[in-house]
Amino acid sequence: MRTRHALVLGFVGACSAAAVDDRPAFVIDALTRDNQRWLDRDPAAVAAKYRVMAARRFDFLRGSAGLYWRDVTAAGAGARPSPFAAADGAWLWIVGDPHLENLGTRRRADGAVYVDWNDYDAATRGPWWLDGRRLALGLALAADDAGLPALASRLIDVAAHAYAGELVRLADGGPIALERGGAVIADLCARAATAGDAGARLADYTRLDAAGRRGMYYGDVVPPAADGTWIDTTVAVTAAERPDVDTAIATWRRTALVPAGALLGASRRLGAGVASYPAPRYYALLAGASDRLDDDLLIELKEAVAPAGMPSAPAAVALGLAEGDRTVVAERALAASPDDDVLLGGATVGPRSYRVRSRSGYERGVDLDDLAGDAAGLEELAAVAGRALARAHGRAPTVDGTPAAAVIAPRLRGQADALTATWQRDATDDAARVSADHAAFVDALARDPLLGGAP
Amino acid sequence: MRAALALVAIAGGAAHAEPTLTARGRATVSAAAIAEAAGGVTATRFELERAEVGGDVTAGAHGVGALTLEAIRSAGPASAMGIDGDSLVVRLRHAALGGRWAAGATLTVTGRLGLVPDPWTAALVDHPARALGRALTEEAALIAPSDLGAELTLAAGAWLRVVIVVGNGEGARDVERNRGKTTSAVTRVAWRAPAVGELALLGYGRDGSVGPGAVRSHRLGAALTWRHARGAAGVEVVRGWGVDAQPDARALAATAWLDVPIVAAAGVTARADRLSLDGGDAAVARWIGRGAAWWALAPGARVELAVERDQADAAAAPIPGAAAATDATRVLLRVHGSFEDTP
Repeated sequence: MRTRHALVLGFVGACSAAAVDDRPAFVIDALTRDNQRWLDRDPAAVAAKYRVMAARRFDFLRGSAGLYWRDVTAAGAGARPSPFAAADGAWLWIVGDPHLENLGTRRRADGAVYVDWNDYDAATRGPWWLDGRRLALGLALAADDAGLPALASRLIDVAAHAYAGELVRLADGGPIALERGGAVIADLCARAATAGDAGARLADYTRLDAAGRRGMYYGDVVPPAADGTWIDTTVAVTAAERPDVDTAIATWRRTALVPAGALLGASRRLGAGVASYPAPRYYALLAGASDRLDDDLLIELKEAVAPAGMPSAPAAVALGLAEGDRTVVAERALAASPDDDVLLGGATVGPRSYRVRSRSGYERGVDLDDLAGDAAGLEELAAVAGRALARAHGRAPTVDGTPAAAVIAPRLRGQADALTATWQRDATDDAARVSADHAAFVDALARDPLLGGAP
Repeated sequence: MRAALALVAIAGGAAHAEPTLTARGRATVSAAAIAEAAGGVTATRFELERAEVGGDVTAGAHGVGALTLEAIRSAGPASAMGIDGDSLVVRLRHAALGGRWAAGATLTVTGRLGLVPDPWTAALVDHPARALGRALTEEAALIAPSDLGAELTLAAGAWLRVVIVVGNGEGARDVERNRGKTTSAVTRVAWRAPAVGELALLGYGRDGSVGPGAVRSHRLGAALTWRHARGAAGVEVVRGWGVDAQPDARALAATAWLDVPIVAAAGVTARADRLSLDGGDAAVARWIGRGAAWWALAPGARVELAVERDQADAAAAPIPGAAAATDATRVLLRVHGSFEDTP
């Protein structure tokens, strides 16, 4: 009987006492859930992803979007009403993870190279103001990681004004403009144009054999880091993977905007991305339109998974798409010039869904390490990010098909300062939370490289 | 299927020792045509809300077993990506084997191991208003319907029942992910009289943890139910500490229901759910009201015309500041049948 009383008292005590390490437990559990499919399949790749996330706080941000969305919705640690919140803006197309390193170059059909969002993995329907809040958080961390913490407020100010101004301009009938100006952007575009013209991706990931035929290259494009983390390496597609890859390519052909040539070879790319580091990513070589070697095409197939932590939409407005198709539909809805990549498409094979896109060399991502200490460069990027996010939100269709600018702009007209204040307030709190989470994550990782989530 | 065959084989084996074998089969199906107004649009769809088939076996003097299969959509709510696309798949809901011993005329002790039912969900699953949808505690992921573990049941006639389950705490989806076990206990005390029918009082407690972070998952609950030829009614309240991997989240789920036959084969039913989730710095709360007129197709089978309203509190919405974004009004034409028989 005494034992029973002790159990009852113990239970009541457990219920009433708050655990001292609640937040780290939540972070560990959320990250484990969001990486579960890859933990089951390839725990070593998840361990490498965690190492990448531990090494730089901005990479922790990149690898933990699901944590952000849990925090800012429902009863999350950062959930608070925004003065810009409204039901009619809650289910618009959003980028999902708009941070500076998800900006990159694209090439339009007329040859113009410009900068826009280059990653729609987390794009879905959701509240536009929380997409903006995520951008502001990324700007605060980017300034800090660049060694310019005092710049955070200025970057958010620039981005918020750029966002509000561009959205109102679009709602007033202004045309979609491409981001090509500014020293940083112009340099990025010039380097991408040079690489694309030279067929850099084909040079990196394929080789000519003795007979002059092009085939896949298997090996290090960039050698792995000292701790074994892949950076840029390709390996042969295994016999177990090959049927899925072949089927995915056959399925994708029906979704691309133009026909593509015969499949000449495939490899698996290791070491790309942060959030999607463990995701299977394949490169496939397709014959070009002519017998020339320089018009062969390289495409990338990457597994797409559901964005984590997003608020649940009512069934009436839920997308109900396979994940690869979701990223394709999202890119066509959100991109400034949606049909640039005529090879963009989706493919679903059994339980895996892929986003397929071309890899030519014209696609070059922003790397914040290039901007360490460069206040002017970061400011330029903040403005570009604000405008790019406004264009994405503004031109994407609402559930009933009209451009969303008409929904968002009335809330922003004359409110750029208020938007700035809101983003700055939220980013300050969010960045403090992410910094603490990152420290707890690094601490937990020292105890277990898989955070206890080993299969 | 292999598990089902194993169950039959074991039950059959026991039947050699004792020439008694009884089986009780059960099937539940709930399907609906739904018109939903939400997020500024109206859409219609068909849903198979629930499909379960299973049974209990008593073999020989002591052997008992249970197996239930359920159909679920394999994709998440916003996705078409699941097993073979957005397909319906069959999975185990319960599968347990054990023994039962009688002590005296009324007292029985039953022990089972396997994928055992959550004792709280199981204690309330038969209530007629469950035809209006899954329990709020299950829908809100406060309680998983089953867990890998051991179950001990003490029953004294029809008036007292105590069920204790010790399990992983991860439900049917995961294996054990931390060192702590989860213990749940339900006590049901019932009183029956011809004039008032059956009144039952239930109490529930759970001390548990989930996930590799060992996030706490504690519950306390109580329910009062009434069942009579003239109708049925009940109230249920469950308090939760640690919800959906948020250790500091506290939940309160309350449900009240009423089911009244107006004539022999037709009646009305209603259910009100209140769910609130307090995360410390923020809170979420919503009401779900359901009402239906029903017509009995057969004993245990109904067709319903139902209306549902799902509404978030203005100050505590899933999307803060945009309460109406998740509000929904639904009109449902539903068929629901729960059949049970002993061959």
